Amino acid sequence: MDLSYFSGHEAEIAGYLWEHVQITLITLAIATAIAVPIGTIVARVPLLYAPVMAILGAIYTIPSLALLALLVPYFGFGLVPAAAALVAYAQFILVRNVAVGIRGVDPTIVDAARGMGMGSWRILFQIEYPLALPVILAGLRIAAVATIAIATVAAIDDVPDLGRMLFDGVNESNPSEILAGVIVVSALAIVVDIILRVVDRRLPATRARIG
Amino acid sequence: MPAIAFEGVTKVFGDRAAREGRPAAVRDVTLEVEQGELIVLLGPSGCGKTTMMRMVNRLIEPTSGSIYVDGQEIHQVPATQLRRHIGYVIQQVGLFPHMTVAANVATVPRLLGWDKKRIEARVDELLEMVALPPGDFRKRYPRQLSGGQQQRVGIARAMAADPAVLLMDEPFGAIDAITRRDLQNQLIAIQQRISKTIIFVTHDTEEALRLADRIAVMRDGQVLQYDRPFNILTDPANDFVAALLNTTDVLQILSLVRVDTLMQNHAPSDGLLTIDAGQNARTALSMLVANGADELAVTDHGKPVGVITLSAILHEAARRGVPTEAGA
Repeated sequence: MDLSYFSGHEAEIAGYLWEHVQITLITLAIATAIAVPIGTIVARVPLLYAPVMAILGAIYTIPSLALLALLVPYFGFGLVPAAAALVAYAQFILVRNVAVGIRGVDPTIVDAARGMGMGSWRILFQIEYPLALPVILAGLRIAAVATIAIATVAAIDDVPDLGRMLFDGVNESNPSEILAGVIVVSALAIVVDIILRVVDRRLPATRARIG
Repeated sequence: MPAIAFEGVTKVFGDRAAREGRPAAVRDVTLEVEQGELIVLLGPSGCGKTTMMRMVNRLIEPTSGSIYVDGQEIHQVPATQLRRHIGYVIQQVGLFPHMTVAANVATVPRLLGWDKKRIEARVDELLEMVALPPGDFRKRYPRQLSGGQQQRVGIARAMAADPAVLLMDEPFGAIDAITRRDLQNQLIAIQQRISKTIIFVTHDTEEALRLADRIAVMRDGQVLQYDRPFNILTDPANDFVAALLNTTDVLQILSLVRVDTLMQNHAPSDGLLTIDAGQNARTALSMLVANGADELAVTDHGKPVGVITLSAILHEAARRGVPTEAGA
């Protein structure tokens, strides 16, 4: 394995990594903010679940390179169209897990909460979301890893993230740079996955289940 | 003024169109529950007993008729507010698994905006009441408790804000027989001390006989008979009630049981009617009922030797003669 690219490019790689972390965080934050209300609604209205998931599933199957290229004529280059595409991808996983998580809450627990005089919003925020959180977080983990991987493609949108190393490596026939890029991207995905796993273990709802 | 009153209450499930021609889950029921009374809604699955109970705290809305709690029609206050003043216990317990025992018990006091100190004191008091030492149990999570302990927490939680009315839907139905007996005894003890108005739903005839001040026997959405356990046993309204409680057998069996076999061996208090130890339990039951007494002094050759209680006789009747599962 040729790891020579790492030496002498530390600052450059750190810059790409930081950019990659930023686009990932922005994407996940926006994607979650959109997916939680949508997932909550489709969990409440079963009739909406199938059509909404079909649409999000269709978006999910568009190759990422194609989607980013398609958005260029409308949004131009840069972070915004790239993040928009990544957010759209993440919806399928996140909405599904939010809906499944909420539906998975034991109805007798919700009945007890209603019977004691908790209103619907209070039940949603104090009972349903906390109990659905492990499932939502599992979705977030998958979405995070997928976003980190797909974000490499955003480099064609002029976003100077780790994808830049892959494109440059290909263009300049520099396998050492490609390898370095792959290693850093993978390491980032693994680290984020581990962090979210640790968070999951600390959730009261997870602890309630596995003790 | 009755604590709870049903007036011509009917429930048909489904929307207006679907209700057309569909049988009513509860059919034109009028029934009153007195302050401090524990009534049992008894009947087979699908008889409407749970529906009846759930209409009191508006988890189910009646199709027609009115329900009054403490003289006030239940639609005069918002549903959430109504429910905060009515204790609610269900068979599945429904503890919040992500909250500690203390937080679970504190649910309604928190909704009512009690201050922290008052809530903490109340939680400890309630855990003591259900025999779960607070120091040991306050910080535990529901999964760390046995089924019986979970339901104790469920009962403490329902009583947290000291509601005058308690709704209990087969609360001991999923609990093993020995623990169930314990919990029933505990409920009887609590009820003697703080005397809530309780609507208790069960299909377990023995449980009904042990706990009830009055039993409403239900079938097909109607109340067939609403009376004291003894009156139902001795004078069932119809064949269904008789079969459900196995009433003829019960009295026959009691006439074969000697009083001293059901006696508690502590000194009777003064002024009780007396019965000889060699008499049979049916005679004791008649004496109790004729005099409206709860217990009799048992004598042997004229000397007091113990006490026999109404609940001991009913319990024996239930144990010996009555099927434990009604309906099914």
